[in-house]
Amino acid sequence: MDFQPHHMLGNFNLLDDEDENFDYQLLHHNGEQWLTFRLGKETYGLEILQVRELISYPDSITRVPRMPSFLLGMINLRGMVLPIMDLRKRFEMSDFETGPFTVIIIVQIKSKVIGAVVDSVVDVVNLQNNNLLEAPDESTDLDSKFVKGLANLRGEMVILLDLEQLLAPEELEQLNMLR
Amino acid sequence: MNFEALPADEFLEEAQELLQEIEESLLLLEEDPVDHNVIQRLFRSAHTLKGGAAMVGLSELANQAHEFEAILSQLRSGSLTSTPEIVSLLLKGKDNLLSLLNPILGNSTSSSSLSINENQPTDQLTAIPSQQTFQKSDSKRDSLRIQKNVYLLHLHFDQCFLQQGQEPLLLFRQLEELGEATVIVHTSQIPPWNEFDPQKLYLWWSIKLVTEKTAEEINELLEFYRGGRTEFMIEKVETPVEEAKEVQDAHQNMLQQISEGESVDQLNFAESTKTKDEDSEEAVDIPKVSQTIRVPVSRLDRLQNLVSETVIRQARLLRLNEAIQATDDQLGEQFLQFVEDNEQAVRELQDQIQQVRMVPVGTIFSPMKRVVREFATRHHKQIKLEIYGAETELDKTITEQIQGPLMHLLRNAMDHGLEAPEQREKSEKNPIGTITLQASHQAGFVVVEVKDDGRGLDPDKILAAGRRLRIVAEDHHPSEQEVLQLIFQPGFTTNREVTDVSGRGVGMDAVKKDIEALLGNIEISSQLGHGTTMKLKLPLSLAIIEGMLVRVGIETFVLPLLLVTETLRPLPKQLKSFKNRGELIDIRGQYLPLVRLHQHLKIDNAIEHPEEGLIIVVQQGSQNYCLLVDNIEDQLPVVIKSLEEHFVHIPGIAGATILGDGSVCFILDVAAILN
Repeated sequence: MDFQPHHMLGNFNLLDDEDENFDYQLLHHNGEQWLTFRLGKETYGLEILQVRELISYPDSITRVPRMPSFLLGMINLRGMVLPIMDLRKRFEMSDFETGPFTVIIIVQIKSKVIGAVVDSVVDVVNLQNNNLLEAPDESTDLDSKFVKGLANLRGEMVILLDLEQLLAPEELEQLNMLR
Repeated sequence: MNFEALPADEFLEEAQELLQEIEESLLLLEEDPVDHNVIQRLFRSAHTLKGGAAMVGLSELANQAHEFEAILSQLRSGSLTSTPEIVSLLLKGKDNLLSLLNPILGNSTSSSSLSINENQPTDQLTAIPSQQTFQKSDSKRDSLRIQKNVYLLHLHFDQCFLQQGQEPLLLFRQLEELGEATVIVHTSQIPPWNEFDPQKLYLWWSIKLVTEKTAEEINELLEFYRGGRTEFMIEKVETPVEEAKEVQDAHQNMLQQISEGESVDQLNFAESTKTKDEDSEEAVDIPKVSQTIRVPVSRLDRLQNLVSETVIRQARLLRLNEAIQATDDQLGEQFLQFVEDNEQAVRELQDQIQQVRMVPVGTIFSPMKRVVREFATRHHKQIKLEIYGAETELDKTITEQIQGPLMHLLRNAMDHGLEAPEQREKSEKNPIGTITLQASHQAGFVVVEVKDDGRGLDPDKILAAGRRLRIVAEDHHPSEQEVLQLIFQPGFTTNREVTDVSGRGVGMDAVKKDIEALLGNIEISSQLGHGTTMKLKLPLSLAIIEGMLVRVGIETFVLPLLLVTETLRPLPKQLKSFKNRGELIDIRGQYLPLVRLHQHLKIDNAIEHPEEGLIIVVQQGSQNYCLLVDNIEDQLPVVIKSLEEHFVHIPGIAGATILGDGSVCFILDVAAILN
């Protein structure tokens, strides 16, 4: 089940109901599946059911006027205009440089679709419930409200993100005010 | 196709239209109480409604429609004359019918705020005296000596005749009662089996009728069955009845000819039978009836979206061609040919889909007649509503979305614009106030005006109110236009002390917002003592607008062309700066405020000196503003993509579009920027 990072480039759907090759068995596995990705030195996880697809970094991103800098802008994804968020900037990490492994994870929360730029995608993993740990308040640099929990994966810590919190309207609204 | 759901849904839609028609006809009837055509039309609508309701099992509606029809029949026969009271009663009856329909439609209340009389209008309807049943002609062939007429009837029914719950046999039976009928059925329009729809009626009939009735009486009977594509022709055959034998023969001949499809051209029966002579094969006979199809708007929306996508991709193809031509000339040439051909098809496709979505703006004007009538009666005003350009076509969604704002403007005009009759007489005006609703096309946009000849807006009073409400500073002396714009201020409320202009401001900010949300503009002009005009400027479509592509720094934006009045590069001497009013640009003696887009959008490295860039004069309300941009890149139709679907609202941005190179470009919300 290990994805080689360079296979991740280009557009392909991770979860497509119409894809015959899709292994439905995966869905019925014990526990939940998570997409893990790198951001700086740390590994993060996103619930795979929230992930729509992965795309490579596009040629052009249109900047949105008067928006905070972590909002890189908008892209055209097959006719749909989507906002792109730079997670490094969002979490106030050092600036990123796009490289061959830079990937945009397109996520969908309810009807909202948004892209998140990450350094690279690592793997899709099954996490049993007993692997999950409550996030202690000071364990990461992140605001704890964005962290759903922590997982220990072969000795490595994975920070499980709560996307819903990250994209909550009040969160975005608040950022509008900051500006 | 869902056969079960279809008839009921179709009926509900049809019923709403019928009720609307009934209302319109009733209002016409009030203007001309003896207009036989109108009564006839009313009758037909009520009858169709009754039949349809019975068919889908809405017996209560059918019963009430029957009562309604009964009164109309009295009007028709002349045993009842239409007075305003009767019309009012019928209007209430119509509302009652609608109220029976609304729970089924899922409308909890009717859209207009007209109060519906609760006390059973049917009782009132039945209370009208002398219920008269239809004259039944029982004269059969018993009186041979009476002058008999011979008619030839050609009956072409709408293909959906049977689906509408109608039955030709009923008509034949009724015709039989009028006299002696010989019926010939024509099967020429039955399509080949693979196109055959068992729900449709492909037959048509010719009937020879020997009767003492006049053509008019026959027509009256046929009237029930008219509608849609149904076509009846009555032809009187001039032959003295004494030569009965000869007549018989002649008619036999004639009928035969018709059934063979020969003399039909002479009977003016259009293409259907003409093709028959040319092509001997009956199967290719094209049914003459081209039909209308009801389609849910959501399906059209989806179709339109797909077409929009195609338009964008077409633009990308053109770009791609440049690259191909650079590498391979010959291939590029072929490709270009293909792209250009495709371009035409795509354009056509776009036009067509847009056409399909267009509805005449009159569909929202008509309910206003009723509103005016009710208002005038209740408030003892005399109001004449004049409507022009009802046939002007506009996108269905836009049409629906301007209905509310228009109604608001109309109410304002009636309530606050028009004076009471006595007051009008005092100021030597016609006691009957006139409100004009006018729609017209203007260079790719639609303009809708609501105009009254009432008292007009008083700038002094508005300014005083503005000062009191602290919207206008004491030391600020706005122009008259600026003063009028105050009524669009949220919170510009009426006050007892300013009753003369009261209400004008209430909800006007909402009207303005609604219009701006459609990327339109609203303009006021008013002359004290002579009336007020509200002018709405609207795009033809919500999906695609004409845009001007402007560059600010390294970024490009789309400005809705509808708002652009002119573009220019100003001379240094045109630039003025005033202490209190900021930077202004002198355009032919008018000082217009300068708005630096780069400042508003926080864009670095843009041109900062107006004389080096370009000024785009945009209209916002009745006021013009100068927007500073670096350059104009293009003028093009753009497909509007909503951003709010996936994101929160971005101030200053109305939406996005995708340019030919596939990149995203924002459409500026001019109103928001200027506020």
